[in-house]
Amino acid sequence: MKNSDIVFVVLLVASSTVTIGIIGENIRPERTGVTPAVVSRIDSAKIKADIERAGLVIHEAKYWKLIRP
Amino acid sequence: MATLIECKLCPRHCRIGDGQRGNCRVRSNIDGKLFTLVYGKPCAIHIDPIEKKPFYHVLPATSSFSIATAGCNLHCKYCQNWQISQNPPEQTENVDLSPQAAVDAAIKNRCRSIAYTYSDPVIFYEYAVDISRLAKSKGILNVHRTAGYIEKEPLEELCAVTDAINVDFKGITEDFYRGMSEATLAPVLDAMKTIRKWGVWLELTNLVVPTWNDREEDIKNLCRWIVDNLGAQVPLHFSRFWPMHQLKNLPPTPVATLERAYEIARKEGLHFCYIGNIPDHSANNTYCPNDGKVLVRRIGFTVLENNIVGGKCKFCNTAIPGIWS
Repeated sequence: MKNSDIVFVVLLVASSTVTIGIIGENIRPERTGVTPAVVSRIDSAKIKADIERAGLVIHEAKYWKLIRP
Repeated sequence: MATLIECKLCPRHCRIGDGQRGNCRVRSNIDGKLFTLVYGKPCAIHIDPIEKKPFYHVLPATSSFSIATAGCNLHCKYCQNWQISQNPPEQTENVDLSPQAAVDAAIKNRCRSIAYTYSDPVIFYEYAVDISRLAKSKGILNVHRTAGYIEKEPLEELCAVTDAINVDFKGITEDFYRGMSEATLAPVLDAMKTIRKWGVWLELTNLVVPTWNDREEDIKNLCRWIVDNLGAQVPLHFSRFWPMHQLKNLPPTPVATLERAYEIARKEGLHFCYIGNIPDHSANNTYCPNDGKVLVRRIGFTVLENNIVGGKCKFCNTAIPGIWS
């Protein structure tokens, strides 16, 4: 293998790595500082609308407890 | 911050986040409250012979108004009703049937009982209990076919309005329950004891699945547990498995396996044993534990002959446990 071939391969790998890094950075979700375990409240009006659209109704269930209000 | 609820209806104790549902697919946390999505929305309504549930010691040769909703808190590989049990209610064809309408329909169709069945009535608990209260006031029996995977407190409330329960006693090992149904055995054992304690009529069904729970040792242990904990008079139905759902690779249960299970059960002291899903087998009949005579002769779900009079064998006057009128 000639020196020029080795240089070519090194440059190719380096440029690919940079390209992948740039693409990866663009598709990574924005870091907000919010821990993954805490999720914002779901829009309950939307949930109820989805249920109604499916022809269902909600009815209060028995035997449960609230862990986190 | 998102709400979090713990459902306490069944031993899974699902922790359900905002907008999410429990394992059963039909109970949802909406704004920090738990709701059932299947109340008044059955997806299966049929009039069946009560023998189909199966109940062989409850009002023979009568019709049972049978209902179910979508969902289930178990996920059995052999489920024959998987199209409704393993789907959320958005994916089943549901009808509107209020508790009052259900009772009216049962009366109109001359059904002596209402059966909560097909999927599992544990998951449509509130609906079943409300129908049951109304049915009871009209003199209609309430009968359940269930896996018995339910916590004690709701089960006791249910027992107060229920006349008969058939529990799927699927197997005698934790491994079986885990592997076949993604559940555990211990709560089912507790549930059967609670049902007996409440005096609700109890019958049991064991689906014998080749290579899974057909070992003689397992069948013997299962029968022994029944005799020791529930009593020898609890009827046990051994049911023939047919390739279904996720177990289409297995053959149907050989008749000889079921006959052997029947022999083991009789030897362990159980008075009333049956073989199900083989319509013309002699083990479909009820025999007097005293004189061995045929009390109820059946072919499939059809009663051909009934020799129980006033709850007793008409030949030797032995009391036969069950609900006969």
